[in-house]
Amino acid sequence: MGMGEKMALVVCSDKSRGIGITVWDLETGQQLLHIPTCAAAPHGLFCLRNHFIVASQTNRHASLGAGSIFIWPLNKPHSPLRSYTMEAIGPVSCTKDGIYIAGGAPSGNVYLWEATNGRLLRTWHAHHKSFNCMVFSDDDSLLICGCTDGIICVWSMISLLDEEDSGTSPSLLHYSSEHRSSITGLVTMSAGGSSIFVSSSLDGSCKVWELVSGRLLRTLVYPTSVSAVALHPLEHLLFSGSVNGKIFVNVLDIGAVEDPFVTTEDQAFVLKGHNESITALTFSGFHLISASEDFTFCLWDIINRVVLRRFNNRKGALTNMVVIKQSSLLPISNHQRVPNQFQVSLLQKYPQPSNSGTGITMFLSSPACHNKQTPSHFHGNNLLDHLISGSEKVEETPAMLQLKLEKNIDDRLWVTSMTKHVMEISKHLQTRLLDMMQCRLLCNPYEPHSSPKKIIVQRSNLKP
Amino acid sequence: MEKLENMYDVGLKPPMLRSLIRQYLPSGNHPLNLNTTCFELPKLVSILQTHRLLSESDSHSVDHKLINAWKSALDDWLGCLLSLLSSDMSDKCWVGICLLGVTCQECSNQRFLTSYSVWLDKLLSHIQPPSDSQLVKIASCTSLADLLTRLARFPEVKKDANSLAGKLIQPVLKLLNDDKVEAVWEGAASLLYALITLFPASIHRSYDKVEAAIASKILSGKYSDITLKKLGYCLALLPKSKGDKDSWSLMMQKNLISINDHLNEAFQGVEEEAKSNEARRLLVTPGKDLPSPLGGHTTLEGGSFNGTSSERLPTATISTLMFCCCKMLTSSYPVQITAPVRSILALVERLLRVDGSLPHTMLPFMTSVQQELICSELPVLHAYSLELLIAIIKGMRRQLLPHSAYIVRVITRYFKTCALPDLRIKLYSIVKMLLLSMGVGMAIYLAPDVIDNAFSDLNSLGGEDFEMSPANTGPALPQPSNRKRKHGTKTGSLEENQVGAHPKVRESNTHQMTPITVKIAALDALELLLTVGAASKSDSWRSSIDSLVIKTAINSCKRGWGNVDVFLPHESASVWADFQLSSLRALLASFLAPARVRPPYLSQGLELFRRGKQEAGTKLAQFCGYALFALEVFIHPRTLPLDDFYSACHNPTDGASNRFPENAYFSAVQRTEQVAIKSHDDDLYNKWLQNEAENENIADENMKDKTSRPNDSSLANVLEVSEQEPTAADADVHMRNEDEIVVQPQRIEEPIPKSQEIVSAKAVTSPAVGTNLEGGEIESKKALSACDRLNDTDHDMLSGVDKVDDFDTVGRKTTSTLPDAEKGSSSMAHLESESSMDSFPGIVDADPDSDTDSESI
Repeated sequence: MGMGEKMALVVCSDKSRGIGITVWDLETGQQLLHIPTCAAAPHGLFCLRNHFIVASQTNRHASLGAGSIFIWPLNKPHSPLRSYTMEAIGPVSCTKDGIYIAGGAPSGNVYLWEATNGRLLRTWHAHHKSFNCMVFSDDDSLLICGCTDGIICVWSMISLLDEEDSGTSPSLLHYSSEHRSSITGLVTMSAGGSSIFVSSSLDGSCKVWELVSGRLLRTLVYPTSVSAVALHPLEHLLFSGSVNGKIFVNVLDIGAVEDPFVTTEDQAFVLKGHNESITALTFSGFHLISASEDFTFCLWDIINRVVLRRFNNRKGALTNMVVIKQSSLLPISNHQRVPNQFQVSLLQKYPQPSNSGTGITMFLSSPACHNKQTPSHFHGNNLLDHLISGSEKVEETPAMLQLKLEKNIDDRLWVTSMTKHVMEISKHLQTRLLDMMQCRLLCNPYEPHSSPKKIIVQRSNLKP
Repeated sequence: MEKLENMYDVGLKPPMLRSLIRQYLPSGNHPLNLNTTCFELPKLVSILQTHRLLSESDSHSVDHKLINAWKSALDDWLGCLLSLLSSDMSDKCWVGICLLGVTCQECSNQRFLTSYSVWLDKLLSHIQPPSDSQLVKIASCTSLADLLTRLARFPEVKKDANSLAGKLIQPVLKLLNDDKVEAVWEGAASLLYALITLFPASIHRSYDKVEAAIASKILSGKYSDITLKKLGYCLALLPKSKGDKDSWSLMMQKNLISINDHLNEAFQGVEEEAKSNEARRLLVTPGKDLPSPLGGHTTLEGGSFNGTSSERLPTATISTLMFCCCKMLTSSYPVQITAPVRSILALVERLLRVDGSLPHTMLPFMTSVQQELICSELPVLHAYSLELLIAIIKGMRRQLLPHSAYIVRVITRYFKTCALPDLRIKLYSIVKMLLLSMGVGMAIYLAPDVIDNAFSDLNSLGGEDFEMSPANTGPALPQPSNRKRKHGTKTGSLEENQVGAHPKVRESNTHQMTPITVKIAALDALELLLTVGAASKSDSWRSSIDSLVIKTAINSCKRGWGNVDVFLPHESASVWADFQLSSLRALLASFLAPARVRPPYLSQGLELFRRGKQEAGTKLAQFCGYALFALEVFIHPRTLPLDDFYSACHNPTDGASNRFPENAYFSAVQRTEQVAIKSHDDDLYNKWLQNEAENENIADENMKDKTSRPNDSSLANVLEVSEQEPTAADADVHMRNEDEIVVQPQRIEEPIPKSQEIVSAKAVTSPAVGTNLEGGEIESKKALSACDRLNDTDHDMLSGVDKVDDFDTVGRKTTSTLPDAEKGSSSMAHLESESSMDSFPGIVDADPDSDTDSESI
């Protein structure tokens, strides 16, 4: 599984709030965590930055006409952030970096929040029908929404968030109405140069689109309605779950073909394991996980096409599944309090006038910042190198000049002191000499021997 | 004394250290010959470092005698240093201090921990008043910084270290405030930097004093760029010592207000009054008090400032403060902070808007001298505002999204007017950053402007255009390189000289030319645009960019490769090599970027890459090798089995079970392309063996068609054509399959052995068949790109008929056995598919057996 890390599966239902959110260990099949009272609309559950579970709540305040989005910190699941919104929110999604959260309302309005400070950046009336699912493109620069009437809209985030023309309705990048029935799933591909996404619909087809131009690249036709879609992590296989419980497997290639292509119920390409409609498909490592309305969800070995493990959720059918790392479930104390923990704020209910003075809450802690702790010009091994390189090139470094000047002054001082010293010595010598001469003249036999010694001693002192 | 083994012998080290002491360290009060010392010290240091003479430890030996010898040698070394330190001769003292710094870095942990406080005191005494030599002060500062850096690595002495570091603050501030020499400040700034980053807690108490000291230096703006930058960096890091959200914001706000005030002064007359007011309004939230000005100075030394404004602008101060903002935005910070993005962006825009022209209302008040002054300083300010923009993008990354439309507007507007090379390079790098961080959504916005600018930059007269006549680029292209290869290097360079002489004449005539560096930046931006945004609505610009890129690449390479000595009057050879590299990188991107047609200039590009690969030892060769490697998959696509998915899937279906191992074998032996075909046609063959009425299998086959297609581009073309048939419904797919199935039996009696021959013939380059095939393929591709289906099919019919004749004649020469049937049929289909026979059945009708029979008879 995913890089040796243990994965867990978060599941929840859309019907009854009693089922709540359950976190399962995929390897052992144990329940790791249960959060009561949550019911998220299809595509209404996601994991934010590996640390938060975000779910839009379906029918809590249905009578009031207002909706809510709950955010649970995974390591502190008993104190969720409860944000209340203007309308009930159906599908929600966040960008890969977890900075922006988008939510779609049944009325066709779309809301866009900034997760860190909860600011409601933008709301706009995107469509006259309800949204089924919304995803961000792989580079997070485009927002793709699928509607119940088969319309797919693509919006550019840059123009959506452009603060200067927030009054007018933002320009749609493109939209398409090729699907004849409700969109049930959208997946984007991370292929480097080509941006492509796949949509599935109840009209029994999956379509492959070019993201920016909106060109339809391929259509896959199935015998039954497609209710969920997932992409293999290597992005060459497309798994489409149908309403009769079968999962079709297609090889996805991105040739420029505009030809409807039939998928029949061939044994080789169908995973059969559910009796009722597939509600969600997702991947954990290279294992497919499928949830169905028959109250079960399965972990598949897609190579051998067998169910590795079947989980039974007795209370009801599941509509949402998210795979998370088990490590993010560890309580804070074990985590040793990372200083740069991202904060998540309550999502605002109303848009606030953009206050220019406040600015954007952000982190200045990226790997890019960290490795520049000591810029090179501050970390010179020593002044030595600096000075020497300066003196080698042109002897004009101010410091070098300074050094030389000081050196000269020092030298002069030294010379003067030396001269003084020498003069003193010579004076001394002269007196000695005079003494000696005197001694000679007086003819004292012992004196001459001792005096030269003294002179020598003094001389040796002189020598530096 | 025992003999030493080799240079790695540990026994060598203590005596080596002793002899170094004797040789290099000035002893007693012998005067120092400064000139020799300067050159000898680095040698000394390098010997110390390479042999790790001060480390006192070796993993291999535990010989106590040796350890003791080393220890005593090091004691001597330190004794020598300390005596140098206490010398009253400044130069000796300087040498001692420098070497103590080296010792701090190199010595063993144990020794460091036992003696760091002594060393610190010794060094500290040299930056305090009694010492007067500037150089000793500077050296002490850097050595202290070295010591602190090492000290910070020992968490166990953190408390002690913090208190020691605290002792340093006052002397350092004193240096900054009282000293008169700039070099000393530089040293003090370095030390301060070390203190702030390593021991932030020690700064905490004297935060305001430090801020004031640094700010006063920056605001005076009188010093060299390097010193000011260092001080700016210190100021930027200062909030870290408190580490809370507010001090960062406060510092940023103070900075911005100060910049703003300076700009108000500087731009008087070249900017409308309203602008400065608006900028001010953005900076200060209405209800709140103005923060105290930077460094606590009550007024901005307004008086003196006004007086001097006619002679010089406070460019140095403004740029330093902006540099400080950049560093604040890009260095890490322990807690989440709120960045005033809006006001920073407003500042950037304000600066970029001022271009030195006078608004009408201001005309009467400005003298030409004033305008001249502003114009002379503007490029620096523009450069720094672009830097600030870069810093924002780096610091905020995707959180900048709400402002990115604004940034795009600023950038595109400025791109139109900006003409200075350095600024253009910066602009291109901003474009690259935006593209990279915001992805395809950004590419949609930026593409038109990037392309326009890149076109004008790359097409303008510049370095590569000084070949005599630019008209004869095409045919004359291979010649220079050939000649150069024949001649020795000497004559080659002579040639270069001569060629280089011409352009000077030409260049002097052309007043405006784009420097190579700008072209490099433009190419890099294009490369990124192709990689990020080629999938966007690129149809309109893609072909023109491809041709521009190949043209540039050819131009860049026609003057020779790699390290050709003399090139351009103004640019160095290495710049030229960079240019070649960038152009080839852009070329690779243009080949690999997704497109709907085969890259039109692939053959020329491959030629360039192959040629470049021969320049051994250069970056260029490395890149060309990589490019060929990357293109390999593109030219010869390989069909790898999809994990084990397929083999698993096909196990139940009989007859096809052992197909994949077989393929694996072939792929090892044969060209991958053929394998692709083979697997494709194995299916046909299997199907032929099976009952063709099985509907499921047809779908099955279709699946396999799809799998093999993306891997083989030529085949992909074929299938593309076939599926673009006007009546492309499901029924037709079935039809086609059945047709194929019907066809096979007709062929299998005769052409199978022949076509096997063809495969081998093609591999061994049989001229007739090979060329014909190739020609057919290329032609059909042209027809395809013309998108005229009628023509397409007509043409294919013709070529298809030709081909059948051809392989019949070849095929006649051989006989074969039945086991070859499988291969034969497959290679047949290969031929057919290569010739894009989408009207397959039609050809079969037009190619009756009687025709070939009559020939054979």
